[in-house]
Amino acid sequence: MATANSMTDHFQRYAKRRFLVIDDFSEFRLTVRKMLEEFGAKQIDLASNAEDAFALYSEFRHDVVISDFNLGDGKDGQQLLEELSQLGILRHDTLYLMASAENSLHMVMGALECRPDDYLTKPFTKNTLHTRIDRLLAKKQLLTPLLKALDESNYAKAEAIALKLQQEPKARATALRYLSEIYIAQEKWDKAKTIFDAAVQARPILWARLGLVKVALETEGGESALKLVEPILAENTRAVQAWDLKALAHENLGDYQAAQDALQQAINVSPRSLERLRHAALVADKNQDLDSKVRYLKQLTKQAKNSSLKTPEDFILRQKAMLEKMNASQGMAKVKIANELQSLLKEDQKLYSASHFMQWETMAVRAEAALAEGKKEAAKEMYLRLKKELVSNMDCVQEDALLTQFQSLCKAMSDEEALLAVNKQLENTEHEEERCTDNRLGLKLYSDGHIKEAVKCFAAARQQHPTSLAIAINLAQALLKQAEFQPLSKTETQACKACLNLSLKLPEDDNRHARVQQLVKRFVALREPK
Amino acid sequence: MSSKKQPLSIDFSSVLATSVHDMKNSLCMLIQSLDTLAMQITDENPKYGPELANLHYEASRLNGDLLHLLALYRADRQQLPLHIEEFFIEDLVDELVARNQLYIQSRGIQVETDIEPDLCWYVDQDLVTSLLNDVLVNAMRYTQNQIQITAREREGFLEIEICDNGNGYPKEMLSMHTSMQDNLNMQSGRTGLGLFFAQIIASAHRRNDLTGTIELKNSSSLGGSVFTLRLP
Repeated sequence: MATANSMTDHFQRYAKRRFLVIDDFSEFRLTVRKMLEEFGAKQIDLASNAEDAFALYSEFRHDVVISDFNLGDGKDGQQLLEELSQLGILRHDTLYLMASAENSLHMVMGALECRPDDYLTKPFTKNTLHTRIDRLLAKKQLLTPLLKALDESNYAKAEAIALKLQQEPKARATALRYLSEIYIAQEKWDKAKTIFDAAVQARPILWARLGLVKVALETEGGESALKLVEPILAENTRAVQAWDLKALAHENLGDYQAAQDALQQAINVSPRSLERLRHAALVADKNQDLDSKVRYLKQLTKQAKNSSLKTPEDFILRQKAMLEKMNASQGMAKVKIANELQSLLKEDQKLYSASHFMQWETMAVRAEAALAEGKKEAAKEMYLRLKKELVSNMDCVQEDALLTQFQSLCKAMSDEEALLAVNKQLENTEHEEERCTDNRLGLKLYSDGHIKEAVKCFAAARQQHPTSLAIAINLAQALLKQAEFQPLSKTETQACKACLNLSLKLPEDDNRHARVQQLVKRFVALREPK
Repeated sequence: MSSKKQPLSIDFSSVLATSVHDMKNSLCMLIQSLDTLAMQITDENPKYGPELANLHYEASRLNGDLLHLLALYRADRQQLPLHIEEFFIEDLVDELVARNQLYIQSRGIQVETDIEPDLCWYVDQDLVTSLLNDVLVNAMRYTQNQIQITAREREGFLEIEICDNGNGYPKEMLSMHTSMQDNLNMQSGRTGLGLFFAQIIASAHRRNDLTGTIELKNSSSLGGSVFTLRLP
């Protein structure tokens, strides 16, 4: 029995924690809030969609998140979790619960690398929620050091912790699964296999079976992997990760048609994953299946638009695939694609409106499209506009996509002089860690003392490469420089904080470590009242 | 449009599955509203407690029925895959009891649990929980005032027992579960489908040549019915 004293302690524990409840049904949000209040919680934020939740979590980094999987038309709960995690916003000790009325959800999603701490099947009662949160918080506390080490990619440390956790009954099973992932990440296939084998020996656990497929694919090749993956799919057609692995196995054997079929199956189950749609487009390309490629890329960009994990590459690939399709079509069909491409280009440009690179890239595609349509005058005009902007900044252009496109335009226009310049830049091997024109432009502007313009370029660069540490550090530094002569706005302060949070992931032996520490100091000093 | 007389071709089972899903969502909201109401009302007006508990019980039963329907539909289409993971049986049972706390309190039932500490087993949490929940809900309905839940490992099986001190299972039910597959009797009323469901869930848990089973008896140490679930 709980004593009165421990009851108060318990109440206090909830009062100290901050909760975030995400659901598109207001009744559900309010019910869960009431439940949490009954447990003693005082700080509870509510969000009705992933976008609001993203903003709220970024600001408060809650201790406990209860999110529905289905969040209406926008992003779903899994996508939100992935974005928070991959952008380095998610705290290691945040307890993340995914709720759904569908009780097979964890099966569809369960084998992913980025997974919530637990799944809740709706409806749940106050008491269920209470017992579950208490139990999981205790477990999470044990796992936090492991998650932190994993996030820093410090595998030696993570391995040591995971091994030690084998002594903790409540965390043992989860830690074992992480241990297998640590071995996979380090390509220690034998050690990973030992774990999977032992687990499968006990029971046909899905994650371990999938693990064995992965190991077989790496060490023995596609044929062995197929033998292991087929039975999983025979039992469960909704195991998306099994479809993904089956596709990889077929690719390994050079059978791209079978690979594409498998990926299509995975997409039918789980249509929103950017990673999977990228993969499908790539495989369709190898199959020379232009129609499917365009279809996957359209689906990809539709999803990417709402995601912080989008890349300019996603949009460029779709632009190029549509150009390809234009060239392969005739008459009215060609005009139709041309019109569609025009309106999509406008959207792409708007999406990356601050990026010089994307403005130039879309101009190049416009010129190519005009050429494909036989509109020579329009093509030339667009080409000249692009050339005017590019030539003076050629040393900053980093992406091969833009350089090669410009190169082919130069050839089409028989512009020897420009061709020489672009060839020179293509041969220039001094590339940044991230090949990003906007980052380069930012560095140039920064060293010339144009700090505010540099900030804009770095911000555009960060939009394109949200996980890049190099760019995050540049943006933070430029913002802190700007703060010397103009106080930062709330948005700018938040952006700076997010950049610094991300750059704290740098391992201690990285040569940028000291620089980041300096920036953090300056940021803290900035926020202290004078 | 051609002829009006042309019959619509409806894949009725899919329609059913979709509607069931939708109904479950509504029920989920209903149950949660009931819980909220119960939280607000029972302190000030304890006399409404039993009525609310009844509402909650019936709504949970409906929810359970829909779940069965959905699961059986999937099983029929060979789409009932198990998601086996390692669970602490104590956690599982704690949640089960917590879920029904409202009803347990309002009916003044004593629930006792006796579970080997650190007993872990490999189960499909959702399916097994909903199976056991059905049994517990049934026990709560028919017990006088006592329920006992025990769990232990025995001869390579996880054995979970739920006993009560009610009048026990009716005769028809005791004989029914043994030959479930061929005589699912829809006329037999409330529990037929539930038992069929339990049977399917249990036998879907397999290990090597061993298969899970259920057993219904009237030889409880408390004097009423005993439901036993054995999982390999």
